[in-house]
Amino acid sequence: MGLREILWAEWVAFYKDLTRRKSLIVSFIVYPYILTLLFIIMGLAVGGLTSFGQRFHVSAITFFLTMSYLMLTLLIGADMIMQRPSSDMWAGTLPYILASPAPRVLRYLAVALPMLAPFIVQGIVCLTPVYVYYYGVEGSVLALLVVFLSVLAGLFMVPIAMVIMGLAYMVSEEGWRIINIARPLLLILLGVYYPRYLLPLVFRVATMIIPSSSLVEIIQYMLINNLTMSLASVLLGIATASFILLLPIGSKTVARWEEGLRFKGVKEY
Amino acid sequence: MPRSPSVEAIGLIKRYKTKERKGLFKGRTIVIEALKGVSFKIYPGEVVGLLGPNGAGKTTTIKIISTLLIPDEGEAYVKGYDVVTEADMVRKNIGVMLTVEKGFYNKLTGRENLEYFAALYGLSSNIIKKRVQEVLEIVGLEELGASDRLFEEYSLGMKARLNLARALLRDPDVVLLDEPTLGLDPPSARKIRDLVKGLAHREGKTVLYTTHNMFEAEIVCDRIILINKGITVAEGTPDELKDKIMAFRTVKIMVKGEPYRYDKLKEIVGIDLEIRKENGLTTIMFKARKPEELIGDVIRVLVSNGADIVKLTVEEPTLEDVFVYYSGKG
Repeated sequence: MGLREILWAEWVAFYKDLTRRKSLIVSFIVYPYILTLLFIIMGLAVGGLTSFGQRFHVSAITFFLTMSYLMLTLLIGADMIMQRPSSDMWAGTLPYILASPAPRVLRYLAVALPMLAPFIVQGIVCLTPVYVYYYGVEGSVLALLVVFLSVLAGLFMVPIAMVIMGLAYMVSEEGWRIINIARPLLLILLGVYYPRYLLPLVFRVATMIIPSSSLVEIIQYMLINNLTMSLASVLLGIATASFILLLPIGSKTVARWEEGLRFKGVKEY
Repeated sequence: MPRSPSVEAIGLIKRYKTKERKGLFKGRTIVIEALKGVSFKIYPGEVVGLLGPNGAGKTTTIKIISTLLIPDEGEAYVKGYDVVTEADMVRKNIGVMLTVEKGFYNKLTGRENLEYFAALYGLSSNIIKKRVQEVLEIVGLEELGASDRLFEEYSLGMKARLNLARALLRDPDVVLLDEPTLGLDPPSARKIRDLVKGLAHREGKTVLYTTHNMFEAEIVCDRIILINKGITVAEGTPDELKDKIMAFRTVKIMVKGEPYRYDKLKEIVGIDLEIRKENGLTTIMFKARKPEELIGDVIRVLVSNGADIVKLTVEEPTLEDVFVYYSGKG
């Protein structure tokens, strides 16, 4: 059994489900704009667009639009993995999934990938016009790079999501409550809304274990036009290495959770 | 050469920890022993019914054999593979149906749901569509025109068929069905029963089947394993089980008028004698292991006292009698 079959299964399941829920399609399109508006309004209350630009050397609109898009991309695949046990319990599908011989790492990669694909389109549609306005024609190239890195960052969230999901559901049958607490913490450590390069060194090192945070940092350096090739290579290397290192840990955590379920019995609602 | 069993359980013991709640914060952990040593063997081509009252341990047993639960003690094997240490091999050889009404994604059609699980169960992409079509036809969803309807629009009978279809996706040698007809209307239940019998008798699959429905167990199962309070209390074909409780054949003799001499009758049949009077008729009832040895004497007493015998019946025990008898014993 390979990634192809499992990926195809998740792909079909996701897209059939998506196209049968029209409200979900609308939310895909409008979320980044709504989040940007929210942060701009909050920002205006405490300072203003100019002061933000002076401090961070990037337009607030570009920054928050990119970060809102990035946040969605980072969380969508991870959320799908972290919430899956809960939704499978309610649908009654969990026992059948546990009884499947599908390799777990492949399965969770397959869960995240179909979710990330529409974000390529969403990123191009949302970011390109704004980037072209602020950066000129080169803005379109920048938008494509940001979209690529964002989707890669979303994929790199898979092992950390597996670890959080496994641990949360090991602690409690209602692991989604713990995940609701972990999610905002994850966003801080990812540096989405607070640039990692402004974090104290201790926190900065701690964030290294989250593969996607290095990719977030690359994007942020790109936005302020301060990215060197060597820095990009180092950050990309750290992200890839931590992703590869975390995959077996994620797999083991999920295996431990499943084994725990096999001792206690799978709950059916 | 002795046949080797498809499924074997040896002294299965399973304990669940639960909490007894008192007030807001007080509580203590209690241990419930769901299985206390269940053992049995099931051979290829057999439909074996696992019967028992609520809480007897039927679902726990099925979950252990389907690798969804790890026993605290004892062993179980499917086609020689250990359900704990060789779970992946066991999963490749079984099809499981745990519930009738759930277990699928609402926004997918029956076909899409099956294609999803087929991929997850390791069927290669070039045969998935063909196999899904086959199982949809086997369970009759194609005939009903329901294959391409959303699962959320399915009736309970359709959901049960789809669940059975999923259990057959991998064409497994061993099929485990937990109350597959629960809540179904008679035609749907009959369809499922016919399918199950066909699986074993035509295709040589091994079927383990739990149910509360005695009528169903009698017509579907080749052999029955009765469990109660976590232990195996009886095992055999429906006829063998009935023979084991022959003491409970019921004799009913209906006579006109008053037969008197109850003392004499009691002497013959023992204390189980029951008399009912209705519309000028008296019904004398008693239970006996070998009623043929007593009926002659009883009739002689009645006739000698001038009773006019209207009707005499001997009721064979039903599987329900067997069930009730052993349910009280566990």
